Parts: sequence; structure tokens; C-alpha cells
Amino acid sequence: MAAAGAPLGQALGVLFAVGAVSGTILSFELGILWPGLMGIYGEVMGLPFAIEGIWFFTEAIFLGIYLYAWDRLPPKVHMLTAVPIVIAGVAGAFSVVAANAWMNQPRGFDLVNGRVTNVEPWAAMFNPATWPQTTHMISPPTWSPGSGWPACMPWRCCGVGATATTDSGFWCRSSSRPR
Amino acid sequence: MPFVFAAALTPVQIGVGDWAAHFVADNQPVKLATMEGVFETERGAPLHLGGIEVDGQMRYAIEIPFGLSLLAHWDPNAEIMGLNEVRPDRRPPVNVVHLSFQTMVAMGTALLGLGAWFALAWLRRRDLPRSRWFLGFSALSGVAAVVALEAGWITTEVGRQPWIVYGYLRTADAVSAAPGLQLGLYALIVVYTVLTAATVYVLRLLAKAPLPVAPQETEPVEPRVIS
Repeated sequence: MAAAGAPLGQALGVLFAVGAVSGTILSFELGILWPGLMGIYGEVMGLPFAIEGIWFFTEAIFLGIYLYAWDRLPPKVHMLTAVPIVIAGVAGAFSVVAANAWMNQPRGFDLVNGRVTNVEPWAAMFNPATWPQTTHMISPPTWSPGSGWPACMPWRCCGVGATATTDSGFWCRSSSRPR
Repeated sequence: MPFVFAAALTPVQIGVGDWAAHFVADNQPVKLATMEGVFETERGAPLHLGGIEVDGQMRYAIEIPFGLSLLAHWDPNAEIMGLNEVRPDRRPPVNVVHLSFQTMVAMGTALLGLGAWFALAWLRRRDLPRSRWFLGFSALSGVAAVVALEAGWITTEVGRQPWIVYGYLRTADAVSAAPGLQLGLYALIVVYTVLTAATVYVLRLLAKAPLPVAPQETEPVEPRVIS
């Protein structure tokens, strides 16, 4: 993986791995820490979690293809293998935030004598809070790297003992000439 | 390019935030009252900027008359429900939620300002702003974006308390009754700290590797070490 841009791909791989590890811990915690929630309402809010799992595997599979096929596919085809990663990332985020939205606007079930009946998982997943909350939650992670990326450049260029290489050199020459 | 992205998306994000806030105003009035520190139900409620709750009252806040009613319902005389209508054991903690919400809005507004600064310079000179302050604020904007994200989550999660399933199940009734849960928390803090440190270390290693020179670069830039 000596091709141009490979370090960015490796960074993506590292971040995905850490996200997978920390996310796995969280999914176990749902059952271990919150038996009162998952025991009673698991069948109501389980659907978005299951769908999120499918998106996660899609993302993992295509990330594998994307990283390992770096030098083995024509550049345009290689670029296409990144598209499912993006789609799965956004759709997975939608699923988990839909589960969270359900906690704000619980729908899709009836409570009869303290027991959950008439479960409608789709009505639970697409509760009234789902659209405002997912939109509000999915746009900032697309946007904070927009801030995070330029944020790294002045740091690398002007600060903390960094070696200025071509990318930050570009930033320095095109903007401020700090020295 | 990333700046164009950030500058273009921040106004969108504030619009989406406005939509989400209207939804909360209509469907979770207790959360709205907590976010804004409203205790007495009133028409033409003012918007509180800053301030902390002391003994059931907002103190030291800058008040913008009619601001809250206007923002929440597009009507300066709209009625805003106050927390005093809610049983004390069903109120979320005001200070945590109010301050997180204000932090999120402040960060969002600051990022909007930075984006506008960039857009202005770009429209006038087709270049980045020349001020060193712009670079300084840009370096902070990445942190600010993450802080805004976390503050937003604290707002919505703590603002739903004491409910885990709003109106149906209390958080206290959902949590495991097993003893020693805090041990798990300590272990998790250690694990996540190690994970974070390892991630930062590996990413820094990757960042130190010089990128191959892009084909369009004509004059190679001398790598230099800045101490």
C-alpha cells in the first residue's frame, strides 16, 4: 500500500477498528447494564439495532476491499468500492439514532397491564422524533471533519514539533507564511 | 476544500438544529424548559443566554425579551411551559442540560462565524483569510466541533431524565440491580483511555510519514523541523 493517499486509508482503517471495538463493548452493555430496558422493550426497539448490524458488516466488508485492493484495482473501480462504505456509515448512523429517537418518542407498541403487546417494529423505528433527530445527528459528523481537517493543518504547519511535509507546506504557502 | 464544506454545512446544521428544537418544543416541553431554564409558565418567554440555576431560578443570565417564544414557536407571545408544572422528581437537572445546550449553540455559532469569515475572504480575493487569527481559530475549530457534538448528546440524553423511555420507563427502573456496577465503569474508563491513547499514537505515526509528492507539485518543499 505504497500508493499516494495510502496513509489516509490506513488512518481510516485504524479509526474503523477502534470504532468497532468500542461499539462492541457498547452493544454488550445494553443487555448487561440495562436489563429493565432491553428485557421489556427489546422487541420494540430491536429492529434498528439489527439493521445497524447489517450496515456495519457491509461497511467492514467494503473497507476490507478498499484497503487491500489499493494497488490491485484500477483507480476508478477502487474509488467505487468506497461508495458502499459511505452509504453504510450514514445508514448505520440513521439506525442507531432512530433507536435513540424512539426513547424520546416511544411508538409501535401497547402497554396492557404492564406488558408490551401489539409490537410494530417499523412504527417504533420511524417514530416522530426519528427524522428531526437523525438529520440533526448525521449532518454534524459529516461536518466536523470539515472543521477537523483544516484544524490539523495549522497545527502541523506551525506547532508542536511537527515535520512540515508537502501537504502542510501547501497550506503554509497558500495561506499565511507563518515565518 | 474542507473549509468550503464546513462553511457551507454549518448554516445547514443550524437550520436542522432549529427544526430539531421546534420538535422538542412541541413534543418534549419539559426538555425545552430544562434546556432554557424556564421555571414559571409564561407567554412571551425570554431567551436566557448563559446563567445558572440557583434554588429554582435562573441567575446571572442575559435575557432577550420574547426570544424563547419566538424561537420555539415563531410567535413572540407563544406560551412556554415552566418546570414548576412538573413534579420535582420528574425534572431533569437544569444546570447540566442548560449549560450543555448553550455550549452546543455557542460552538455552532462560532463555527458559523469562522465559515462566514472564510467565505467573505474567498469571495473577495479567492484566497484564505490572511490573518493569523484565522489559522488559530481554525486549529481550535476541530476541537469545537467535537465539543458541540458531545454537548448536544448530553443535552438530549440528560434532558430526557428521569425517563429512559419517555413517559414509560424510568432510568432507575431500567438499570441492572447487580452490585458493583461502578467497577465496570472504572474498567471501561481504563479501556477507553488506553484505546484513545493508542489511536492518537498510531494516527500520529501515520501523520509523520511523509506523503508521496503529488504529480502536480513542481517545486518540492524542503521538509523542515519546527521546534
